[in-house]
Amino acid sequence: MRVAVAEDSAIIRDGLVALLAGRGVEVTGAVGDGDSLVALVAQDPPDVVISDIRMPPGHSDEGLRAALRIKREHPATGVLLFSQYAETRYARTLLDASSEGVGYLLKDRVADVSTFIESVRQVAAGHVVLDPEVVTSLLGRRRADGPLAMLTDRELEILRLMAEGRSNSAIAVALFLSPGTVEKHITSIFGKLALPASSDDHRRVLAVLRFLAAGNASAE
Amino acid sequence: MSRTSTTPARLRPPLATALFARRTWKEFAFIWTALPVAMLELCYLSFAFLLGLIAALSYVGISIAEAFAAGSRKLGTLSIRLARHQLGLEIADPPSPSAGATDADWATRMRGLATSRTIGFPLLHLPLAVLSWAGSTIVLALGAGLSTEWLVQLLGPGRVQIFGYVADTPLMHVVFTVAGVLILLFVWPAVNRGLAEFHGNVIARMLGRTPAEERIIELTNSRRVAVTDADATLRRIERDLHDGAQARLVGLAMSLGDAHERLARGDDPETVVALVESARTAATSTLAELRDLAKGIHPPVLDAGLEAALASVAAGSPVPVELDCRIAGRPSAVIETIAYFSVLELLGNVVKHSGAGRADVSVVQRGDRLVVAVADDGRGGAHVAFRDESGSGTGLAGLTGRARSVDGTLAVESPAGGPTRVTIELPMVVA
Repeated sequence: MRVAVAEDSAIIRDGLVALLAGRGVEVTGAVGDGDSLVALVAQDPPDVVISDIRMPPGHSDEGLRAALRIKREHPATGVLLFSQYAETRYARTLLDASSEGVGYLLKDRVADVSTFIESVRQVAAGHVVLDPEVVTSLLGRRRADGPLAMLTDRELEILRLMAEGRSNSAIAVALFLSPGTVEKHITSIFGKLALPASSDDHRRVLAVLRFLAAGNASAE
Repeated sequence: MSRTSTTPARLRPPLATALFARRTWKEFAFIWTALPVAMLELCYLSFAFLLGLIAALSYVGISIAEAFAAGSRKLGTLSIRLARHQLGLEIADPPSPSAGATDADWATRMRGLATSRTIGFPLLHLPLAVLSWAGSTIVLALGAGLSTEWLVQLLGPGRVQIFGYVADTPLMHVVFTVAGVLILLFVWPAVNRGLAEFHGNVIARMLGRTPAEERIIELTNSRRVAVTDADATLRRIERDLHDGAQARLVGLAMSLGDAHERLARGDDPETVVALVESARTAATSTLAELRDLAKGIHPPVLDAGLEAALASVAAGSPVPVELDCRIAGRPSAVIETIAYFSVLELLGNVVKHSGAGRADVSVVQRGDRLVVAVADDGRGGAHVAFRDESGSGTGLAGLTGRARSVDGTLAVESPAGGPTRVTIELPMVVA
């Protein structure tokens, strides 16, 4: 896996590069602002970029804008936003731009190194990875009459874990359920959300997006 | 602060040469110009009264009346401008009628219409203008007539009558001429000035800002400064946390997470030791940073009193500081905070800009005021650079804004070459 890093804090940037290199990940470059990241990717497209959101010059959403541009110009490159704040608006903008190979994690998540590296791999492989914080805030603003109103609390809980990118067996462990029960709930979720029959992976992504759309609708 | 404003005495030309002074003729021109302006004002008022105030009896008509009143105020600014330009009086424009007045009920709006600005002034202005005009012009004509009477009689066709008197002996000619010259040189300029200034002061008193309006403008400005200041402070703290402590803690979590996994995997202990060591360094530097940040928000030593807090600042200053603190009681907490941070910033300026070898800080209570002064023997040249008139800005301007927010003042004496003395006066207790 080849990774490009954009982060304005030298401490985090250097730490991240060392961490990735230590796990055998090839770092194509590490820069401190969005424009440099876009240039870096144009020169040598990596499998995935890890980018801070708030960076110079404006310290607002430079990283997000760079990520959107990269996603547009290099759709094959995964984009993982890496921030100190979980902003549902940013997550939403990112997911609107692409539902493949995007992610949004809090910086806190690096403490669990293996899981973090795994998330990077997931995004590089084209999956969606969202931070539990982002997912929680979306769930907290669920609209009563939205498409999720039909789901039971248990089903919502499972959907939420799916949005975080967990596998069926991981969900089963987290909720103390048997894998079979989880399977049944997921089938029920797909049914209630009227998702077309297709590959299970694709349906999962659709379910998650439906879930996020519901959260977003209530925010407007 | 007062509505009237008089010209500083040093600007007045000596009376003997007053006749030839530019200022005297500007005053005379003012008196002449003010007359038609006053006529216009009274005409406008009569017109407005007939149409506007009668219309105001109906609810819709009050809007028309208010428009007339606004026109009257606008017309008033003509007099203000005239007095400002011709007489050099410093009259501030009156504030525009309070915003939100359209929400007020009928009676309030009616009351707002009939003010000394809209009605009283035009009524009083014309008699005043006529008086000034007639007074000055008659005295000037008298002086001019008397002093030139002899000449006119020598060159001209007949005798000159002045108030029925005709000079027919050389002695009388001399008396008339001397009297005329004395009037022109001494009497007329004084009469002219007196009338013009009285006239100008009436304009200032009736049309300029009232003390209450001054106060409102001052409070509005200082409130804006205080609010912007608070907002900027919060943003700075968030920024400091985000870029500093938070980033360091992410780095710390990263090192510890890495170390943990390496230990669990049974990696080379040397690598793990390096990771733990870097985590420890990150933890200590984060602690130091958080301590500085917390101290910048509210220094704990301030709880022990301003003197103790300033003593600790003085002790830590790279430039030797002599502290003289004479306070009987304790000022309000907010005053202590403002005084403390002002001294901190001023001493910072001394260190950074003045090149001074020493500094003196004095904090003295005078009645219900706290006078804080920071002086240095540096190169001087400090000034308050306002970014706008509301008093916000950086450095000294920021300190001025903070002092004003509690009805305090800041004065800078800093001639080029030094020394510099900045004096801040604050109330002991915030009302």
